[in-house]
Amino acid sequence: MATRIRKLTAVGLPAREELLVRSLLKMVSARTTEDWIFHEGLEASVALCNPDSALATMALRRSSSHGLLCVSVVHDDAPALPQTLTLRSPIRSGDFIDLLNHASEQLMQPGRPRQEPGTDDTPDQALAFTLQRLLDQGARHYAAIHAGNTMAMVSLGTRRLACAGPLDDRALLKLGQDSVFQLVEVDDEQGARAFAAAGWSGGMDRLLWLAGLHAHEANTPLAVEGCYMLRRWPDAGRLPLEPFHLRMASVLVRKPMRAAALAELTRRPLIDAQAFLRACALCGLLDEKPATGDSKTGRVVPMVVPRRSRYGELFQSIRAVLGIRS
Amino acid sequence: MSEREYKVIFTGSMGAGKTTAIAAVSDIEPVRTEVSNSDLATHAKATTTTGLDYGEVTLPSGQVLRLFGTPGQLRFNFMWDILAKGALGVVVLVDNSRPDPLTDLRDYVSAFRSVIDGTRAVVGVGRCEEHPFPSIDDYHDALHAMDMHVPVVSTDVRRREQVITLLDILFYQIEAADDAVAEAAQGAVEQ
Repeated sequence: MATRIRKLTAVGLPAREELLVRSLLKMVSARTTEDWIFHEGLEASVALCNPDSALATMALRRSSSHGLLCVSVVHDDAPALPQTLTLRSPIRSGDFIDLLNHASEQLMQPGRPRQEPGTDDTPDQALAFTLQRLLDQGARHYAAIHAGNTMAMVSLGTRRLACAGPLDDRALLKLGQDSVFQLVEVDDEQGARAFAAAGWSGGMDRLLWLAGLHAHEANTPLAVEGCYMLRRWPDAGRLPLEPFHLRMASVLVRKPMRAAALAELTRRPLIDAQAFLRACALCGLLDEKPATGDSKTGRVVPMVVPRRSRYGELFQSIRAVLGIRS
Repeated sequence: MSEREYKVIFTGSMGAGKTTAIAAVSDIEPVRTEVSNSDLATHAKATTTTGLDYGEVTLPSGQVLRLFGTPGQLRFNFMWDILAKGALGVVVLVDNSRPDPLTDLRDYVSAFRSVIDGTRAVVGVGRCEEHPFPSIDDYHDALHAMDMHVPVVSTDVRRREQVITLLDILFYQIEAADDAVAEAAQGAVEQ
């Protein structure tokens, strides 16, 4: 069974103490019930806090809103922060291991505030969603991915993946849907070396597209209940688009609409329209637009069938001759 | 062009793949007019198209879709207006390995602006795998700045199915433009 990976961060600790924590994390993995990695930022499961640091207040707020478990790192008899665990300084490895295992037990208890969707600690956060979030944040670095038996390198700047062996669509989908993974930032030199040495490289958008198309199968949350418009066509040269995806793109790039309207206009099942929207969303192609008129009230309005273009029959004939399935 | 003949233009810089693209879908062996390449310094091709490339797709009804490839070298641009007359739309092919592909894009889109009329085109960008920049988003932004709303996709014209996809997208663009004109006309009548 895959081991859960938890994140631990430091808030306001002296540099030497933080360095000690980072080193201890690498050494104690064999004796903890879960895997732990160090994370910079408050999107973690556990925060080791210096009670005298002004940043500790932020951590405490996040504790009540997002379930961050705060630990006061205290010297001698110094007071700890209210309603936090305590870890004595100087930190000993035995105490550190006990703390991590205790934290694991507490984090698994039901009734704790859930992390907001979209953070790396959300149990159902698949790799594809994490990558999409990083891209949304403007990340452009290299990162090493460890997911199950797969090790890959991603370049967020060029939106490319590299791996020792080829990743076909099945492997890309599995990787994109995996929710137990490590994503570790690496420096440009290391990333470039990995890409140069890789046996295979391909576009990251293909992984995102496949994960979006199949999101409903993995029961991952990606709601597409709003009114959307495409800001540009999906890249048909790189993505595995069906002919009806092109029809949907040609409609959605011109006017905003909901999934139901898109399905009706293109004569496809609703599930196809929703899958298309999810795939476009993960690739960063969708803009949500304000609902207007009847789409706001949710009232179902009979669709106006668009007038057939004077070229309709011509293009239908050309498509048939060229072998384009409709 | 008679009522039973329709025309699509393939344009783009030298070496972008116009000849290859037409050959990929033409029913007939494409007609090519070539001379020696006078620009070997920038492009290592022995020959280049001087007049035009020509291919066609014949439909069961007897209608013919004629495919014209423009000469890539700018010294032949006097032919572009002649070729553009009566065209349904334009396929613009860009080579992403060239020094300034966005300028190439602007040049060829501007040259056929009257045919494209804002939307009746598709842009196919080649060699994106080896040359990821400019990105598809960069091309999209460049077209937007020209008030052009045209799809941009990466493409490998050596693969027939990708050339067919370019044409499929172009046909959607032409149909949508036609619908928009009809809707505008209907709106004017109702007023």
